[in-house]
Amino acid sequence: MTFFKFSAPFFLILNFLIVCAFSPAQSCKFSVQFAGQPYSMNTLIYTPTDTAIVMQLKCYVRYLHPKKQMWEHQLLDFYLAEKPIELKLPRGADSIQLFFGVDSALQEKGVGTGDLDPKNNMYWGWFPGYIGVKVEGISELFGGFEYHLGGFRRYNANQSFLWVKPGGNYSIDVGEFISKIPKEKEGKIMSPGPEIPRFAQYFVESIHERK
Amino acid sequence: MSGSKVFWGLMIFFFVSGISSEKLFFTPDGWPVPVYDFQQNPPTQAKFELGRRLFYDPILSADSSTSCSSCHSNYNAFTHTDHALSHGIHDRVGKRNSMALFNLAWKDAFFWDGAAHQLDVQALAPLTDSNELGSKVNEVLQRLKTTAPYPALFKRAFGREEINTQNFLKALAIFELSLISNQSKYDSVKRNEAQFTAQEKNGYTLFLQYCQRCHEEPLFRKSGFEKNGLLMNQKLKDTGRFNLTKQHEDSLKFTIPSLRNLSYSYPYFHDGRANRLMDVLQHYNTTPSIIPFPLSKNELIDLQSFLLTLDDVNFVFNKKFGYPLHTTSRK
Repeated sequence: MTFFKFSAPFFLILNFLIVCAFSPAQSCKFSVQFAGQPYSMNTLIYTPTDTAIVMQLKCYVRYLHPKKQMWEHQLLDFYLAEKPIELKLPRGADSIQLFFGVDSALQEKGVGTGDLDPKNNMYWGWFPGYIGVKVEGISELFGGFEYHLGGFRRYNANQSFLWVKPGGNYSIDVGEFISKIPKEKEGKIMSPGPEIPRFAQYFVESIHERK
Repeated sequence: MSGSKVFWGLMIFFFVSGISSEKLFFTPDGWPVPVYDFQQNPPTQAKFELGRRLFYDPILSADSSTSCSSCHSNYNAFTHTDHALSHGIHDRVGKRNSMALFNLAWKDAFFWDGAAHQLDVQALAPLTDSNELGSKVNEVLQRLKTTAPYPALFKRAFGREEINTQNFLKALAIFELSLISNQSKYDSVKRNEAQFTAQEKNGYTLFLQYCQRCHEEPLFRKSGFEKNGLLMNQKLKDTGRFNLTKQHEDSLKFTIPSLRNLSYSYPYFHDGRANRLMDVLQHYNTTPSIIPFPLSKNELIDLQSFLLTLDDVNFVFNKKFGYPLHTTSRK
Protein backbone atom coordinates (compact mmCIF):
# COMPACT_ATOMS: atom_id res chain seq x y z
CA MET A 1 0.00 0.00 0.00
CA THR A 2 2.81 2.34 0.96
CA PHE A 3 4.62 1.43 -2.24
CA PHE A 4 1.52 2.30 -4.29
CA LYS A 5 1.02 5.56 -2.40
CA PHE A 6 4.50 6.80 -3.21
CA SER A 7 4.83 5.33 -6.68
CA ALA A 8 1.46 6.50 -8.05
CA PRO A 9 2.65 10.04 -8.88
CA PHE A 10 5.74 8.56 -10.54
CA PHE A 11 3.62 6.32 -12.81
CA LEU A 12 1.28 9.19 -13.62
CA ILE A 13 4.19 11.36 -14.73
CA LEU A 14 5.70 8.43 -16.66
CA ASN A 15 2.35 7.85 -18.37
CA PHE A 16 2.17 11.54 -19.33
CA LEU A 17 5.70 11.46 -20.74
CA ILE A 18 4.95 8.30 -22.75
CA VAL A 19 1.77 9.83 -24.17
CA CYS A 20 3.70 12.98 -25.11
CA ALA A 21 6.53 10.98 -26.67
CA PHE A 22 4.29 8.76 -28.77
CA SER A 23 1.71 11.40 -29.78
CA PRO A 24 3.12 12.91 -32.94
CA ALA A 25 3.23 16.66 -33.40
CA GLN A 26 0.20 17.80 -35.36
CA SER A 27 -0.49 20.68 -37.65
CA CYS A 28 -2.63 21.92 -40.47
CA LYS A 29 -1.74 24.27 -43.31
CA PHE A 30 -3.16 27.48 -44.71
CA SER A 31 -2.62 28.90 -48.18
CA VAL A 32 -4.19 31.63 -50.31
CA GLN A 33 -6.41 31.41 -53.34
CA PHE A 34 -8.32 33.95 -55.41
CA ALA A 35 -11.71 33.10 -56.88
CA GLY A 36 -10.95 29.42 -56.66
CA GLN A 37 -7.46 29.63 -58.19
CA PRO A 38 -4.21 29.10 -56.25
CA TYR A 39 -2.57 32.46 -55.59
CA SER A 40 0.91 33.81 -54.79
CA MET A 41 0.90 37.05 -52.81
CA ASN A 42 1.79 40.29 -54.59
CA THR A 43 1.35 38.84 -58.06
CA LEU A 44 -1.31 39.70 -60.62
CA ILE A 45 -3.95 37.05 -61.05
CA TYR A 46 -6.27 36.78 -64.02
CA THR A 47 -9.64 35.10 -63.56
CA PRO A 48 -12.44 34.91 -66.17
CA THR A 49 -14.05 37.99 -64.61
CA ASP A 50 -11.33 39.86 -62.78
CA THR A 51 -7.69 40.91 -62.60
CA ALA A 52 -6.39 41.43 -59.09
CA ILE A 53 -3.44 41.68 -56.76
CA VAL A 54 -3.46 40.95 -53.02
CA MET A 55 -0.80 42.90 -51.16
CA GLN A 56 -1.61 42.10 -47.57
CA LEU A 57 -3.24 39.13 -45.90
CA LYS A 58 -2.82 38.65 -42.19
CA CYS A 59 -5.04 37.14 -39.58
CA TYR A 60 -4.88 35.99 -35.99
CA VAL A 61 -6.10 32.49 -35.23
CA ARG A 62 -6.49 30.97 -31.80
CA TYR A 63 -7.63 27.79 -30.14
CA LEU A 64 -8.20 26.83 -26.56
CA HIS A 65 -5.43 24.39 -25.66
CA PRO A 66 -7.19 21.34 -24.19
CA LYS A 67 -4.54 20.65 -21.55
CA LYS A 68 -3.36 24.15 -20.69
CA GLN A 69 -6.87 25.63 -20.90
CA MET A 70 -5.28 28.74 -22.35
CA TRP A 71 -5.72 30.41 -25.70
CA GLU A 72 -2.89 29.71 -28.13
CA HIS A 73 -2.56 32.53 -30.66
CA GLN A 74 -0.75 32.52 -33.96
CA LEU A 75 -0.46 35.25 -36.57
CA LEU A 76 -0.85 33.94 -40.11
CA ASP A 77 1.04 36.46 -42.24
CA PHE A 78 1.03 35.57 -45.91
CA TYR A 79 3.01 38.64 -47.06
CA LEU A 80 6.29 36.79 -47.59
CA ALA A 81 4.97 33.25 -47.32
CA GLU A 82 6.27 31.26 -50.29
CA LYS A 83 4.58 28.07 -49.14
CA PRO A 84 1.52 27.25 -47.04
CA ILE A 85 1.72 28.46 -43.43
CA GLU A 86 1.76 25.70 -40.87
CA LEU A 87 -0.39 25.98 -37.77
CA LYS A 88 0.68 23.73 -34.90
CA LEU A 89 -2.20 21.92 -33.23
CA PRO A 90 -2.29 20.21 -29.84
CA ARG A 91 -1.17 16.58 -29.75
CA GLY A 92 -3.89 13.97 -29.72
CA ALA A 93 -6.76 16.18 -30.88
CA ASP A 94 -8.98 14.87 -33.71
CA SER A 95 -10.27 18.31 -34.59
CA ILE A 96 -9.89 21.80 -33.20
CA GLN A 97 -12.26 24.72 -33.09
CA LEU A 98 -10.18 27.50 -34.60
CA PHE A 99 -11.31 31.05 -33.81
CA PHE A 100 -10.29 34.12 -35.77
CA GLY A 101 -9.08 37.24 -33.98
CA VAL A 102 -7.50 37.79 -30.57
CA ASP A 103 -9.15 36.65 -27.34
CA SER A 104 -11.19 39.53 -25.91
CA ALA A 105 -10.15 38.95 -22.29
CA LEU A 106 -6.50 39.14 -23.32
CA GLN A 107 -7.13 42.41 -25.14
CA GLU A 108 -8.56 43.92 -21.97
CA LYS A 109 -5.16 43.46 -20.34
CA GLY A 110 -3.17 45.29 -23.02
CA VAL A 111 -0.63 44.02 -25.49
CA GLY A 112 1.12 40.68 -25.77
CA THR A 113 4.49 39.42 -26.91
CA GLY A 114 5.62 37.21 -29.80
CA ASP A 115 2.94 37.03 -32.48
CA LEU A 116 0.83 39.37 -30.36
CA ASP A 117 3.51 42.07 -30.28
CA PRO A 118 2.13 45.32 -31.74
CA LYS A 119 5.27 45.55 -33.86
CA ASN A 120 3.50 43.12 -36.21
CA ASN A 121 1.32 46.08 -37.24
CA MET A 122 -1.87 44.36 -36.17
CA TYR A 123 -2.67 46.66 -33.25
CA TRP A 124 -5.04 49.54 -33.82
CA GLY A 125 -3.91 52.92 -32.59
CA TRP A 126 -6.96 55.15 -32.56
CA PHE A 127 -9.30 52.23 -31.93
CA PRO A 128 -9.03 49.78 -29.07
CA GLY A 129 -7.43 46.38 -29.46
CA TYR A 130 -6.04 44.21 -32.21
CA ILE A 131 -6.96 43.95 -35.85
CA GLY A 132 -8.04 40.33 -36.27
CA VAL A 133 -8.04 40.18 -40.07
CA LYS A 134 -6.22 42.47 -42.48
CA VAL A 135 -6.80 42.13 -46.23
CA GLU A 136 -5.52 44.71 -48.72
CA GLY A 137 -5.18 44.78 -52.50
CA ILE A 138 -6.61 45.97 -55.81
CA SER A 139 -9.22 44.31 -57.98
CA GLU A 140 -10.46 45.41 -61.39
CA LEU A 141 -13.92 44.21 -60.43
CA PHE A 142 -14.12 45.51 -56.87
CA GLY A 143 -11.59 48.37 -56.90
CA GLY A 144 -8.96 48.96 -54.23
CA PHE A 145 -9.74 47.29 -50.92
CA GLU A 146 -8.45 47.73 -47.39
CA TYR A 147 -10.35 45.63 -44.91
CA HIS A 148 -9.25 45.74 -41.26
CA LEU A 149 -11.61 43.70 -39.11
CA GLY A 150 -11.50 43.83 -35.33
CA GLY A 151 -13.33 44.90 -32.20
CA PHE A 152 -13.73 43.19 -28.86
CA ARG A 153 -16.17 44.94 -26.60
CA ARG A 154 -19.49 46.16 -27.94
CA TYR A 155 -18.77 44.66 -31.37
CA ASN A 156 -16.91 41.45 -30.74
CA ALA A 157 -15.42 40.35 -34.04
CA ASN A 158 -13.53 37.43 -32.52
CA GLN A 159 -16.31 34.86 -32.37
CA SER A 160 -16.13 33.36 -35.86
CA PHE A 161 -14.63 29.91 -35.98
CA LEU A 162 -13.76 27.01 -38.24
CA TRP A 163 -13.26 23.37 -37.30
CA VAL A 164 -9.87 22.21 -38.54
CA LYS A 165 -8.30 18.77 -38.56
CA PRO A 166 -4.69 17.76 -38.13
CA GLY A 167 -3.14 17.25 -41.55
CA GLY A 168 -5.81 19.39 -43.19
CA ASN A 169 -5.03 21.89 -45.95
CA TYR A 170 -7.10 25.04 -45.99
CA SER A 171 -7.26 27.87 -48.50
CA ILE A 172 -8.34 31.43 -47.78
CA ASP A 173 -10.15 32.68 -50.87
CA VAL A 174 -9.57 36.44 -50.93
CA GLY A 175 -11.66 36.88 -54.11
CA GLU A 176 -14.64 35.21 -52.51
CA PHE A 177 -14.24 37.27 -49.32
CA ILE A 178 -14.10 40.66 -51.03
CA SER A 179 -17.09 39.75 -53.20
CA LYS A 180 -19.16 39.31 -50.01
CA ILE A 181 -18.42 42.78 -48.62
CA PRO A 182 -21.21 45.24 -49.55
CA LYS A 183 -20.34 47.78 -52.24
CA GLU A 184 -21.40 50.63 -49.94
CA LYS A 185 -18.20 50.10 -47.97
CA GLU A 186 -16.31 51.37 -51.07
CA GLY A 187 -13.45 49.03 -50.36
CA LYS A 188 -12.67 50.46 -46.94
CA ILE A 189 -13.28 49.05 -43.49
CA MET A 190 -10.92 50.59 -40.98
CA SER A 191 -12.80 50.65 -37.69
CA PRO A 192 -14.90 48.48 -35.38
CA GLY A 193 -18.66 48.58 -35.74
CA PRO A 194 -21.90 46.61 -35.66
CA GLU A 195 -21.33 45.02 -39.09
CA ILE A 196 -17.83 43.78 -38.40
CA PRO A 197 -18.73 40.46 -36.71
CA ARG A 198 -20.75 39.63 -39.85
CA PHE A 199 -17.83 40.54 -42.12
CA ALA A 200 -15.52 38.42 -39.96
CA GLN A 201 -17.94 35.55 -40.53
CA TYR A 202 -17.69 36.17 -44.29
CA PHE A 203 -13.93 35.80 -43.98
CA VAL A 204 -14.23 32.44 -42.26
CA GLU A 205 -16.83 31.28 -44.78
CA SER A 206 -14.26 32.04 -47.49
CA ILE A 207 -11.88 29.42 -46.12
CA HIS A 208 -12.16 25.99 -47.70
CA GLU A 209 -10.56 22.66 -47.07
CA ARG A 210 -8.60 21.40 -50.04
CA LYS A 211 -9.06 17.72 -50.68
CA MET B 1 29.67 41.66 8.39
CA SER B 2 28.60 42.68 11.86
CA GLY B 3 24.96 42.64 12.95
CA SER B 4 24.82 46.39 13.40
CA LYS B 5 26.06 46.99 9.85
CA VAL B 6 23.38 44.70 8.46
CA PHE B 7 20.78 46.47 10.58
CA TRP B 8 21.78 49.96 9.44
CA GLY B 9 22.12 48.76 5.85
CA LEU B 10 18.56 47.47 5.94
CA MET B 11 17.35 50.68 7.57
CA ILE B 12 18.94 52.78 4.83
CA PHE B 13 17.54 50.46 2.12
CA PHE B 14 14.00 50.67 3.49
CA PHE B 15 14.31 54.43 3.99
CA VAL B 16 15.52 55.04 0.43
CA SER B 17 13.10 52.60 -1.19
CA GLY B 18 10.28 54.09 0.86
CA ILE B 19 11.08 57.58 -0.38
CA SER B 20 11.38 56.37 -3.98
CA SER B 21 8.06 54.56 -4.06
CA GLU B 22 6.34 57.51 -2.37
CA LYS B 23 7.66 59.85 -5.01
CA LEU B 24 6.82 57.55 -7.91
CA PHE B 25 3.18 56.93 -7.19
CA PHE B 26 0.79 57.54 -4.34
CA THR B 27 -2.93 57.94 -3.78
CA PRO B 28 -3.67 61.27 -2.11
CA ASP B 29 -5.94 61.16 0.94
CA GLY B 30 -9.58 61.06 0.00
CA TRP B 31 -8.96 60.10 -3.61
CA PRO B 32 -10.57 57.01 -5.16
CA VAL B 33 -8.74 53.74 -5.74
CA PRO B 34 -6.67 53.92 -8.95
CA VAL B 35 -8.01 52.12 -12.00
CA TYR B 36 -4.55 51.17 -13.27
CA ASP B 37 -3.46 47.63 -12.42
CA PHE B 38 -0.11 48.19 -10.72
CA GLN B 39 0.33 44.46 -10.13
CA GLN B 40 0.94 44.06 -13.86
CA ASN B 41 3.47 46.88 -13.86
CA PRO B 42 4.89 47.73 -10.43
CA PRO B 43 6.46 51.20 -10.34
CA THR B 44 10.23 51.39 -9.88
CA GLN B 45 12.68 54.23 -10.07
CA ALA B 46 14.45 52.56 -13.01
CA LYS B 47 11.21 52.31 -15.03
CA PHE B 48 10.41 55.91 -14.19
CA GLU B 49 13.82 57.15 -15.38
CA LEU B 50 13.58 55.09 -18.57
CA GLY B 51 10.02 56.22 -19.22
CA ARG B 52 10.93 59.85 -18.69
CA ARG B 53 13.83 59.58 -21.10
CA LEU B 54 11.64 57.91 -23.73
CA PHE B 55 8.95 60.55 -23.25
CA TYR B 56 11.35 63.37 -24.07
CA ASP B 57 13.34 61.61 -26.80
CA PRO B 58 12.56 62.46 -30.46
CA ILE B 59 14.14 59.14 -31.42
CA LEU B 60 10.61 57.77 -31.15
CA SER B 61 9.53 59.67 -34.27
CA ALA B 62 10.19 58.57 -37.85
CA ASP B 63 12.56 61.47 -38.56
CA SER B 64 13.84 61.94 -34.98
CA SER B 65 12.26 65.39 -34.83
CA THR B 66 9.30 64.95 -32.54
CA SER B 67 8.85 63.48 -29.10
CA CYS B 68 5.86 62.86 -26.84
CA SER B 69 6.81 66.10 -25.08
CA SER B 70 6.45 68.04 -28.34
CA CYS B 71 2.70 67.98 -27.73
CA HIS B 72 2.83 67.27 -23.99
CA SER B 73 5.10 69.89 -22.45
CA ASN B 74 5.58 69.77 -18.70
CA TYR B 75 5.21 73.56 -18.50
CA ASN B 76 1.73 73.24 -19.96
CA ALA B 77 0.51 70.51 -17.61
CA PHE B 78 1.68 68.07 -20.27
CA THR B 79 -0.30 69.44 -23.16
CA HIS B 80 0.55 72.18 -25.67
CA THR B 81 -0.72 75.73 -25.74
CA ASP B 82 0.85 76.99 -28.94
CA HIS B 83 -1.63 75.47 -31.36
CA ALA B 84 -5.15 74.10 -31.37
CA LEU B 85 -4.34 70.73 -32.92
CA SER B 86 -1.39 68.45 -32.23
CA HIS B 87 1.60 68.82 -34.54
CA GLY B 88 3.73 65.99 -35.83
CA ILE B 89 6.63 65.14 -38.12
CA HIS B 90 7.16 67.08 -41.38
CA ASP B 91 4.98 69.94 -40.09
CA ARG B 92 1.91 67.76 -40.26
CA VAL B 93 -1.10 68.63 -38.17
CA GLY B 94 -3.21 66.09 -36.30
CA LYS B 95 -6.95 66.00 -35.88
CA ARG B 96 -7.36 66.84 -32.21
CA ASN B 97 -6.15 69.07 -29.41
CA SER B 98 -3.55 67.22 -27.36
CA MET B 99 -4.84 66.30 -23.91
CA ALA B 100 -3.22 67.33 -20.64
CA LEU B 101 -1.56 64.41 -18.86
CA PHE B 102 -1.90 64.02 -15.11
CA ASN B 103 -3.70 61.78 -12.62
CA LEU B 104 -3.85 59.10 -15.31
CA ALA B 105 -3.99 56.16 -12.89
CA TRP B 106 -7.63 57.10 -12.27
CA LYS B 107 -8.64 57.03 -15.94
CA ASP B 108 -10.26 54.04 -17.61
CA ALA B 109 -10.34 55.44 -21.16
CA PHE B 110 -7.90 57.64 -23.05
CA PHE B 111 -8.10 60.16 -25.89
CA TRP B 112 -11.07 62.45 -26.55
CA ASP B 113 -13.22 59.52 -27.67
CA GLY B 114 -11.90 56.88 -25.28
CA ALA B 115 -10.31 54.89 -28.10
CA ALA B 116 -7.59 53.47 -25.85
CA HIS B 117 -8.95 51.35 -23.04
CA GLN B 118 -5.70 51.06 -21.13
CA LEU B 119 -2.83 53.42 -20.36
CA ASP B 120 -0.09 51.05 -21.53
CA VAL B 121 -1.47 50.81 -25.06
CA GLN B 122 -2.44 54.44 -25.63
CA ALA B 123 1.08 55.45 -26.66
CA LEU B 124 0.80 53.26 -29.77
CA ALA B 125 -1.67 55.64 -31.44
CA PRO B 126 0.42 58.84 -31.51
CA LEU B 127 3.57 56.78 -32.05
CA THR B 128 2.30 55.25 -35.29
CA ASP B 129 0.01 58.01 -36.59
CA SER B 130 1.51 59.50 -39.75
CA ASN B 131 0.42 62.97 -38.57
CA GLU B 132 2.17 62.61 -35.24
CA LEU B 133 5.34 60.58 -34.61
CA GLY B 134 4.85 58.55 -37.80
CA SER B 135 6.88 55.55 -36.65
CA LYS B 136 6.52 51.83 -36.93
CA VAL B 137 6.83 49.98 -33.64
CA ASN B 138 9.54 47.60 -34.87
CA GLU B 139 11.59 50.50 -36.22
CA VAL B 140 11.40 52.29 -32.86
CA LEU B 141 12.51 49.15 -31.04
CA GLN B 142 15.40 48.75 -33.47
CA ARG B 143 16.52 52.36 -32.92
CA LEU B 144 16.38 51.89 -29.16
CA LYS B 145 18.38 48.66 -29.36
CA THR B 146 21.19 50.42 -31.18
CA THR B 147 21.21 53.63 -29.17
CA ALA B 148 23.07 53.97 -25.89
CA PRO B 149 22.16 54.04 -23.10
CA TYR B 150 18.82 52.39 -23.84
CA PRO B 151 19.96 48.74 -23.67
CA ALA B 152 21.47 49.45 -20.24
CA LEU B 153 18.41 51.39 -19.07
CA PHE B 154 16.08 48.60 -20.15
CA LYS B 155 18.26 46.08 -18.35
CA ARG B 156 18.15 48.18 -15.20
CA ALA B 157 14.39 48.57 -15.43
CA PHE B 158 13.39 45.05 -16.48
CA GLY B 159 16.36 42.87 -15.66
CA ARG B 160 17.13 42.11 -19.29
CA GLU B 161 18.75 44.07 -22.09
CA GLU B 162 16.05 42.84 -24.45
CA ILE B 163 13.96 45.76 -25.64
CA ASN B 164 10.44 44.73 -26.51
CA THR B 165 7.13 46.49 -27.03
CA GLN B 166 5.64 45.51 -23.70
CA ASN B 167 8.53 46.88 -21.65
CA PHE B 168 8.76 49.99 -23.80
CA LEU B 169 5.08 50.73 -23.16
CA LYS B 170 5.28 49.84 -19.47
CA ALA B 171 8.18 52.24 -18.89
CA LEU B 172 6.33 55.07 -20.61
CA ALA B 173 3.25 54.26 -18.54
CA ILE B 174 5.15 54.41 -15.25
CA PHE B 175 6.45 57.88 -16.07
CA GLU B 176 2.96 59.04 -17.02
CA LEU B 177 1.42 57.48 -13.91
CA SER B 178 3.83 59.44 -11.75
CA LEU B 179 2.35 62.72 -13.03
CA ILE B 180 0.13 63.36 -10.04
CA SER B 181 -1.33 66.81 -9.60
CA ASN B 182 -2.70 67.34 -6.09
CA GLN B 183 -0.89 70.43 -4.84
CA SER B 184 -3.28 73.17 -5.95
CA LYS B 185 -4.77 75.81 -3.68
CA TYR B 186 -8.01 73.81 -3.76
CA ASP B 187 -6.12 70.80 -2.36
CA SER B 188 -4.58 72.98 0.35
CA VAL B 189 -8.02 74.23 1.33
CA LYS B 190 -9.29 70.67 1.52
CA ARG B 191 -6.37 69.82 3.79
CA ASN B 192 -7.18 72.86 5.95
CA GLU B 193 -3.86 74.45 5.04
CA ALA B 194 -5.36 77.45 3.21
CA GLN B 195 -8.62 79.29 2.74
CA PHE B 196 -10.60 80.40 -0.30
CA THR B 197 -11.16 84.10 -0.81
CA ALA B 198 -14.77 85.22 -0.72
CA GLN B 199 -14.82 85.26 -4.52
CA GLU B 200 -13.34 81.77 -4.79
CA LYS B 201 -15.77 80.51 -2.18
CA ASN B 202 -18.71 81.88 -4.13
CA GLY B 203 -17.24 80.34 -7.29
CA TYR B 204 -16.97 76.99 -5.52
CA THR B 205 -20.65 77.14 -4.60
CA LEU B 206 -21.50 77.85 -8.24
CA PHE B 207 -19.21 75.03 -9.33
CA LEU B 208 -21.02 72.56 -7.08
CA GLN B 209 -24.33 73.74 -8.47
CA TYR B 210 -23.50 73.72 -12.17
CA CYS B 211 -20.31 71.83 -12.96
CA GLN B 212 -19.92 69.06 -10.39
CA ARG B 213 -22.31 66.76 -12.26
CA CYS B 214 -19.64 66.07 -14.87
CA HIS B 215 -16.48 67.33 -13.19
CA GLU B 216 -16.52 65.39 -9.94
CA GLU B 217 -14.14 66.19 -7.11
CA PRO B 218 -11.33 65.50 -6.41
CA LEU B 219 -10.25 64.63 -9.96
CA PHE B 220 -12.61 67.20 -11.50
CA ARG B 221 -13.60 64.78 -14.22
CA LYS B 222 -15.49 61.51 -14.37
CA SER B 223 -15.57 58.41 -16.53
CA GLY B 224 -17.77 58.43 -19.56
CA PHE B 225 -18.54 60.78 -22.41
CA GLU B 226 -20.85 63.74 -22.77
CA LYS B 227 -22.03 66.20 -25.38
CA ASN B 228 -20.67 69.65 -24.72
CA GLY B 229 -23.05 71.50 -27.01
CA LEU B 230 -20.41 72.41 -29.58
CA LEU B 231 -21.40 72.22 -33.23
CA MET B 232 -19.33 69.88 -35.36
CA ASN B 233 -16.17 71.38 -36.74
CA GLN B 234 -16.93 71.19 -40.47
CA LYS B 235 -13.30 70.91 -41.43
CA LEU B 236 -12.40 68.11 -39.02
CA LYS B 237 -15.77 66.28 -39.12
CA ASP B 238 -14.98 64.79 -35.74
CA THR B 239 -17.97 62.85 -34.42
CA GLY B 240 -16.26 61.95 -31.14
CA ARG B 241 -17.34 58.76 -29.41
CA PHE B 242 -19.57 57.85 -32.37
CA ASN B 243 -16.42 57.20 -34.35
CA LEU B 244 -15.88 54.15 -32.16
CA THR B 245 -19.29 52.91 -31.22
CA LYS B 246 -21.30 53.82 -34.34
CA GLN B 247 -24.20 54.52 -31.97
CA HIS B 248 -26.13 57.66 -32.85
CA GLU B 249 -26.55 58.62 -29.21
CA ASP B 250 -22.75 58.86 -29.00
CA SER B 251 -22.47 61.39 -31.80
CA LEU B 252 -20.47 64.44 -30.68
CA LYS B 253 -19.85 62.95 -27.25
CA PHE B 254 -16.33 63.47 -25.93
CA THR B 255 -14.47 62.51 -22.81
CA ILE B 256 -14.91 64.79 -19.80
CA PRO B 257 -11.54 66.44 -19.22
CA SER B 258 -10.23 67.41 -15.81
CA LEU B 259 -10.59 71.03 -14.75
CA ARG B 260 -7.25 71.01 -12.96
CA ASN B 261 -4.43 73.17 -14.35
CA LEU B 262 -6.62 75.12 -16.75
CA SER B 263 -4.28 78.13 -16.70
CA TYR B 264 -1.56 76.01 -18.28
CA SER B 265 -3.55 73.86 -20.66
CA TYR B 266 -5.39 76.14 -23.07
CA PRO B 267 -6.70 76.03 -25.78
CA TYR B 268 -9.79 74.11 -24.67
CA PHE B 269 -12.14 71.52 -26.15
CA HIS B 270 -11.28 68.59 -28.42
CA ASP B 271 -10.45 70.85 -31.35
CA GLY B 272 -8.86 73.63 -29.35
CA ARG B 273 -11.39 76.17 -30.52
CA ALA B 274 -11.49 78.21 -27.28
CA ASN B 275 -8.39 80.08 -26.20
CA ARG B 276 -9.70 81.68 -23.03
CA LEU B 277 -11.31 80.03 -20.06
CA MET B 278 -14.00 82.71 -20.05
CA ASP B 279 -14.89 81.72 -23.64
CA VAL B 280 -15.57 78.19 -22.38
CA LEU B 281 -17.73 79.47 -19.52
CA GLN B 282 -19.61 81.75 -21.92
CA HIS B 283 -20.24 78.76 -24.19
CA TYR B 284 -21.88 76.83 -21.38
CA ASN B 285 -23.73 79.95 -20.28
CA THR B 286 -25.30 80.51 -23.67
CA THR B 287 -25.79 77.02 -25.11
CA PRO B 288 -29.37 75.88 -24.57
CA SER B 289 -28.67 72.16 -25.11
CA ILE B 290 -26.50 72.00 -21.99
CA ILE B 291 -27.93 72.07 -18.45
CA PRO B 292 -29.21 75.54 -17.47
CA PHE B 293 -26.26 77.72 -16.65
CA PRO B 294 -27.74 81.16 -16.21
CA LEU B 295 -24.87 82.98 -14.56
CA SER B 296 -24.36 86.70 -14.41
CA LYS B 297 -21.11 88.28 -15.51
CA ASN B 298 -19.96 88.58 -11.90
CA GLU B 299 -20.87 84.99 -11.17
CA LEU B 300 -18.88 83.84 -14.18
CA ILE B 301 -15.89 85.71 -12.82
CA ASP B 302 -16.37 84.11 -9.42
CA LEU B 303 -16.60 80.68 -11.02
CA GLN B 304 -13.46 81.34 -13.01
CA SER B 305 -11.62 82.46 -9.87
CA PHE B 306 -12.51 79.15 -8.22
CA LEU B 307 -11.38 77.16 -11.25
CA LEU B 308 -8.00 78.91 -11.07
CA THR B 309 -7.54 77.51 -7.56
CA LEU B 310 -7.13 74.17 -9.32
CA ASP B 311 -3.85 75.31 -10.86
CA ASP B 312 -0.98 73.26 -9.49
CA VAL B 313 2.21 75.24 -9.90
CA ASN B 314 4.20 72.65 -7.93
CA PHE B 315 3.22 69.99 -10.41
CA VAL B 316 3.74 72.02 -13.55
CA PHE B 317 7.19 73.23 -12.58
CA ASN B 318 8.34 70.06 -10.86
CA LYS B 319 11.77 69.33 -12.32
CA LYS B 320 11.35 65.66 -11.51
CA PHE B 321 9.01 65.50 -14.48
CA GLY B 322 11.07 67.76 -16.72
CA TYR B 323 13.55 67.07 -19.49
CA PRO B 324 16.00 64.46 -18.15
CA LEU B 325 19.18 66.45 -18.78
CA HIS B 326 17.88 69.31 -16.64
CA THR B 327 17.44 67.20 -13.55
CA THR B 328 19.92 66.27 -10.89
CA SER B 329 19.04 62.58 -11.09
CA ARG B 330 21.14 62.17 -14.22
CA LYS B 331 24.34 63.16 -12.47
